[in-house]
Amino acid sequence: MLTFLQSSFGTFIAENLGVFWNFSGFANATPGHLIMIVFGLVFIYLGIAKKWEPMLLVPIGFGILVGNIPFVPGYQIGVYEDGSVLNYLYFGVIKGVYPPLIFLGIGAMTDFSALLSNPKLITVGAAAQLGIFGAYILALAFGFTAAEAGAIGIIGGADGPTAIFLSSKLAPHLMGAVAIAAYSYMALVPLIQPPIMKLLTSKKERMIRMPAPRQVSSTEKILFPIIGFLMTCFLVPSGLPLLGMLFFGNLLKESGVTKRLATTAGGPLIDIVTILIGLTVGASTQATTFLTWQSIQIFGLGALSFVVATFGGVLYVKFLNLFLKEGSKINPLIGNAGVSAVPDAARVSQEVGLHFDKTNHLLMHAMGPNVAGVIGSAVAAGILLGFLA
Amino acid sequence: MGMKKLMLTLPAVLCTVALAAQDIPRDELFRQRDPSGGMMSIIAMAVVFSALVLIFFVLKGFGLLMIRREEGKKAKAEAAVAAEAPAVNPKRKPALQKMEEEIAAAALALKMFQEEQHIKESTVITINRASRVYSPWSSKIHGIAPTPTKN
Repeated sequence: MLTFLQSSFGTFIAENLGVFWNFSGFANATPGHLIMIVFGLVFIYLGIAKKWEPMLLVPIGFGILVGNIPFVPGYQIGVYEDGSVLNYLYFGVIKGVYPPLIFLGIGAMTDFSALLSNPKLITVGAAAQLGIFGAYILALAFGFTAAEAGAIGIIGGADGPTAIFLSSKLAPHLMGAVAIAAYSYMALVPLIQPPIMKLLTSKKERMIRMPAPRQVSSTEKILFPIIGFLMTCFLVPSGLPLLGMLFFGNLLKESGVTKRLATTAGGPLIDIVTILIGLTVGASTQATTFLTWQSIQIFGLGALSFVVATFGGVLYVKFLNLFLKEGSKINPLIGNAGVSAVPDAARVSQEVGLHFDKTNHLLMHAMGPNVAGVIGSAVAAGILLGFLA
Repeated sequence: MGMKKLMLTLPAVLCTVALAAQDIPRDELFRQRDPSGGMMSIIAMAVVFSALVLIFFVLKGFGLLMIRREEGKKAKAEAAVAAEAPAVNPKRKPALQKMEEEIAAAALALKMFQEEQHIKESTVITINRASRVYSPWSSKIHGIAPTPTKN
């Protein structure tokens, strides 16, 4: 054996094995990579075992594993290396291609009936955008630039695709952290919101029963995406990519004559884009670029923005109730649904409502502010883009 | 003279300021003018509210229009039924109400009939163990070739 190793062929083999070892992940691993791999595993665990937003957490979690396999740079492997396959897939994130396609699918899956039957709920979706601007102010105070603060603030909109879209335009270097924070907190909505909802409401308020929503005609459903699109985009043209696709997807659904297109947009298309966006956003969290003090600050500000958004929504409903007659009052437990985490935030309203009154079903009412939140956060993103880009 | 000089130099100064402003990124200018972000937040929230309140008013108006249209249609239909009802049975006084009751009764009867048609399923998902009654058709011993024996 010793003779073999001492021979020229043996030395040749040993040298090559050494090179192979130096190229392996074991030789290049840093504590940062291992920490990120643990993060990825936690995401996968939460998605599979706890079933928290599995459609997002499983691809993102696995993406984190993909992005944190240590390698020697320069061989077109990583997501940030020009010419690598992952870099090509990541192109859709950097250039903001995927989020509008996801919005197309969301539009094709969303039923705006709850909003149409009780239009005053749409303003709850505006009030909950307070989280975005609360986080913007805090981020400025923490020393971020205005563009970075805008990208961080949008986490408060509780809308993953919007967060990716805006951060890719305003602060691409923060996009990984912003996207991960937005999706993580969206998954944590059932944990973050209920204590705030209970804190801000009295027992009497939680028991408010809302009248059943009226039946909405198909004409209203068809006209809504056209009217909604024209009004929001004339006011905020920079929100066009998101709002245009959202309302277009909804028109495909409601027109009744483009069923195949609506099925594709709300099914296979959104699934494909979700896979690509989840995996590449996860892969963009390479330890070398992700594990920074800034990322920790972004996570902290993101949590605060969700809290502020929930405060904004619930308190706004309480304020609105001051002017509403008995019998047409709104249960403040649906105020939290003004953030656009569809349908998780509405589900939280339903569960908290049922906790206090077993027969008071709030889901249908909460879907109104919830879908209004999608429009509201896209409008807010358009404003930030218009001001800061 | 001083005024004239100012008038001559002002465009140049403004150009310089504009050029300097061009060099500074837009977001940085925003930060300089509104360091706390409060003004930006108020304006942006006002725009978000205006957009959604605008939609609210349009939806509200449109909803009222649709409700009125539906009511009009309903009234027209009711009037048509009321006009036809005396011809069918002149003695029937509250024709509409009675018709609605009849429709409800027919619908209930149909629903009950349909429910009876449905096979009652066990809610237990596990597969029930079937009793193994012997039958030569399912007999394993008859299904396999006999073991060859050495004579």
